[in-house]
Amino acid sequence: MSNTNEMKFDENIKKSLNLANNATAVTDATFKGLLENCFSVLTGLPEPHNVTNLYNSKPDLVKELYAALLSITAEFVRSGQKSDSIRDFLNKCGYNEAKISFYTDLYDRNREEIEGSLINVGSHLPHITDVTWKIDYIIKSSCVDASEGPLFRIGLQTEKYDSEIGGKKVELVNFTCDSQELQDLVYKLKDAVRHCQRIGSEH
Amino acid sequence: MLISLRNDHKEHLNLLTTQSVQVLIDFCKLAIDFLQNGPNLKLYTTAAEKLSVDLDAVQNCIYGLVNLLLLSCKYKLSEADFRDSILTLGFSSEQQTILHKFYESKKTEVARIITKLSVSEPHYDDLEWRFEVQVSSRALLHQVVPLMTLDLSLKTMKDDGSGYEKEHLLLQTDVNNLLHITQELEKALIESRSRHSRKIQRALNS
Repeated sequence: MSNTNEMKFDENIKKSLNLANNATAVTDATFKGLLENCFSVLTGLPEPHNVTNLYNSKPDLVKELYAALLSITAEFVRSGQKSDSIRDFLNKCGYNEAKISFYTDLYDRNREEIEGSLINVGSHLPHITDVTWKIDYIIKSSCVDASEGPLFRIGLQTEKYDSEIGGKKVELVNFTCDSQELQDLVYKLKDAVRHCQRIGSEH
Repeated sequence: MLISLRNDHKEHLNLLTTQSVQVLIDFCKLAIDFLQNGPNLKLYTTAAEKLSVDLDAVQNCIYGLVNLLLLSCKYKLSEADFRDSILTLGFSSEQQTILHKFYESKKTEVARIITKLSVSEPHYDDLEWRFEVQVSSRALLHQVVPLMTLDLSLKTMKDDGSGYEKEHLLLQTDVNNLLHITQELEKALIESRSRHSRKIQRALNS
């Protein structure tokens, strides 16, 4: 697939990436360790390598490289790059074949998972995941001595990503309706379902 | 069913039993006016002078009539029940007819109002849906995510009973969950028409 997205990277990032070519600052083992940490973090898992162990003698250079690797990897996934365009890009950064292969290998293995993490970034409406219902019959009330019913108590369970706690927040939306209103609600929902089924079967 | 009035309530209405039909009609009109506009002390004072009784007696009488109306509506009395209930108060047959007309004229309105005064909870009003596909976001440029966006409007009775407060809830769901909740709610409808539910309904209505 031809990629029409031209990735524009800051010159500084390219300079930082170039540090990987500096064998005294960044050994092969360090580079591999950094990449493994990078892909791990972007998929939401903890870093497998203790970062201080990777520092060697030049911690600031290693940190700079790490930051640059994280940036470009996120950008690659974001714009949906394939291995070929990545290979070209890393070539221009002066990486040798070994480094490029290692990177593209990790990229192909982890791309889908990183896409999954990125898709959740952003604000969404509360998402309905479940519904509870119960049927009540009113025998009496303090105002009217008459029975009423059936009365349906519906609870819609919704999930919403809460950035404060960094996870899902479950909320219940409760409301009541009588038979006629529930019929109206179910009719409208079935209409929506029919629409989805029609779209799905149109191929 | 028969309602029985409290003793002081009976005493208040006692004043009317000895009056003429025309006076009773006037008092019913005053009671209706009280429902709509609140107490009108000037009219009550004039009435008190004409009948040579205290202003208090007239007021209590009006309140008594209104309370009789409220109790009858609360228990949803039929004509026979209503007449039997006021029989014990000592009203003549003509007066009973007038009081019954008074009850009939205001029955539906008052019944409607007092049902609104009961426990208020969010009540379903309407549902609008919109099918959409998310194609891109700032974090991920190439996506195809089908979504169903729902606008659920709920109405809740305001505290003073004056009307409904409507709130619109924007929610979303995916096709699988949509199907799931539709099926669940349909089950609820079917359950309400089942034999068990019908038995209970019959038992409550009898």
